[in-house]
Amino acid sequence: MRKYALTAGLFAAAFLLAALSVRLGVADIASEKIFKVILSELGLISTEGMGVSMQERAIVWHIRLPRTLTGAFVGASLALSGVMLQGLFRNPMASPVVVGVSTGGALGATSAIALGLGAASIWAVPISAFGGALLTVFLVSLVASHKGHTPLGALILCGMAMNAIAGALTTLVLSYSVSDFEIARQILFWLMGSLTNRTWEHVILIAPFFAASGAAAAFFGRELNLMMSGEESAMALGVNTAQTKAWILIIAAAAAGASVAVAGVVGFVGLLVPHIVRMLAGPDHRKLLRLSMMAGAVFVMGMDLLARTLSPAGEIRLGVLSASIGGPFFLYLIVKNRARAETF
Amino acid sequence: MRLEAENIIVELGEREALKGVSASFQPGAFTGVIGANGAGKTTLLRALAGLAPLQSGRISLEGEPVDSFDRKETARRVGYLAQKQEPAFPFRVDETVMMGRYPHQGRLSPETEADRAAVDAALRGVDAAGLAARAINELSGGELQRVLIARTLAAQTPVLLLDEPFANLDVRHCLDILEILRAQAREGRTVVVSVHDLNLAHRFCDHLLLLYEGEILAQGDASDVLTRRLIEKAFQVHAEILTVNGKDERYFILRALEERE
Repeated sequence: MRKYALTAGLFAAAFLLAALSVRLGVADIASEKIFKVILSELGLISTEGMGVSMQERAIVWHIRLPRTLTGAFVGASLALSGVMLQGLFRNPMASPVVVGVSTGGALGATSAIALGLGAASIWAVPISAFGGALLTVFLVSLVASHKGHTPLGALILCGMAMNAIAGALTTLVLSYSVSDFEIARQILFWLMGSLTNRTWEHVILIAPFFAASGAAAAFFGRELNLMMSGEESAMALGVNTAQTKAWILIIAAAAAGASVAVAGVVGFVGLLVPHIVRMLAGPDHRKLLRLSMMAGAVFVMGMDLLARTLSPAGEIRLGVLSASIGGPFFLYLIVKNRARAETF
Repeated sequence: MRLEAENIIVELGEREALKGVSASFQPGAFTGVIGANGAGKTTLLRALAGLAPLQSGRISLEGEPVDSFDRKETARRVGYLAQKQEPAFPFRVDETVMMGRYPHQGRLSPETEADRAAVDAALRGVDAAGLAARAINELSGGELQRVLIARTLAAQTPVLLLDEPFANLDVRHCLDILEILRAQAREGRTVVVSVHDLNLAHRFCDHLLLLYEGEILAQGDASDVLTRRLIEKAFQVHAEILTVNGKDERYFILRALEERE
């Protein structure tokens, strides 16, 4: 039973946080009304004459619910991406950041905002972010590959270089935009990472990528385990390592890219969550993939709820909070486990 | 399964690690690959396992070129254990040995009875059944080595290639593993092992292949290969051969050239 305790616990936590996230806010809307709104939006009941105001309906259905779902998908996607990359690189330091997903996405989004595309369509910024993220990962693996071989060390180094380049270009775009206060403000907020004002469009954008990458990842549990024993051993045991590496990169990039597209740069989730889950559940990726996704959703929903509660006006951004709480907690874990830190 | 190398050339960086090696390994034979450091033992085993790209030449299994198989098909036929120590993450021993079953498993299919039986047999074979529930990162070097040998055996491949599998083993487990590998050969498998210890090589191997600077210096029956002249050339040492019981039992006493009186 202990086998399923973690799954059940995470499931319960995810459900509870989702419920709290929809229930809590500046406007106090009773749980009963929330149920009515959701059921009526799903076409199951009619709320006419039930005492639910238009405003309450809008808050629940158009503000809180999409925000909650976006948060869950973002957390799950980032953690999925992180756990796959950590497995691939056999390194707990790996995260979506190392292969350039985050900075590439930031550059894409920043450029779109600076060009004024944000006003043109609600899709413009997320799609540019997603494009930037995937393009960066593609360039990183292209540069790191030689004669069909992609050494993992080269991949990390190219990722670092590409991070520096994309980071510099983002700063450049930001400097040019400083004269326009509104644009600069949007860029800065985007870079801080947030779930404020997320709509169903954001949910629709990330949901298919999350579903596809989560489903695809399930096929690579065994391969990830085998890759942990080293690339040549994995090959000798029958793993097509070149193909596996390519798939893992694509899946991890798509998942993290989609979450960068809808929530901006939310740091640390992809690094911290898989790390904690690995400590609790061991190294088997067939479990880790699933548990990390659930834990990621729990973490981001929890952080967002905390950010909202601490500062209803939104000064405390999700990205800031997740790094400032996650960072010290991560350090605590390292200190606590220092004796066996090298055991991953 | 007959494993053959035809005139293979393998480059490592700028250096030719194998300069046209041809050899044939027969089912039922226990072959030892011997030679000094850098003679090409590891490269030969890697090439035979299909893990080192060939500059030219051909490796075949029962006449079929190895590169016509995909990785999984190759791994169902050829088991390979590298000499280099692997990173040990806290998988359990039985989970680790189960990884040897990978080439027999479908993508999402669960582990079968046959998988579990193969894992149990392999663990018993290396005297590690009692370790099954331990984490591999907490094992001693020798225990881990036995577990990795079990992982290789669990795949139940007709060909077994092991690179210096005794490096971390104490005397008893070293002899046990040699017995197990010889028994695998007696069952009809093709077993190729690289060995440093000439005494063990002579005692256990039916067939020896002596490498010197990327080429085969000699191959054949153990007694024909381990002559004083060949040993002195291949290893750059002074060799003495002791014959015990009149005939077949031989012991090799090796001294550094400078030590010679």
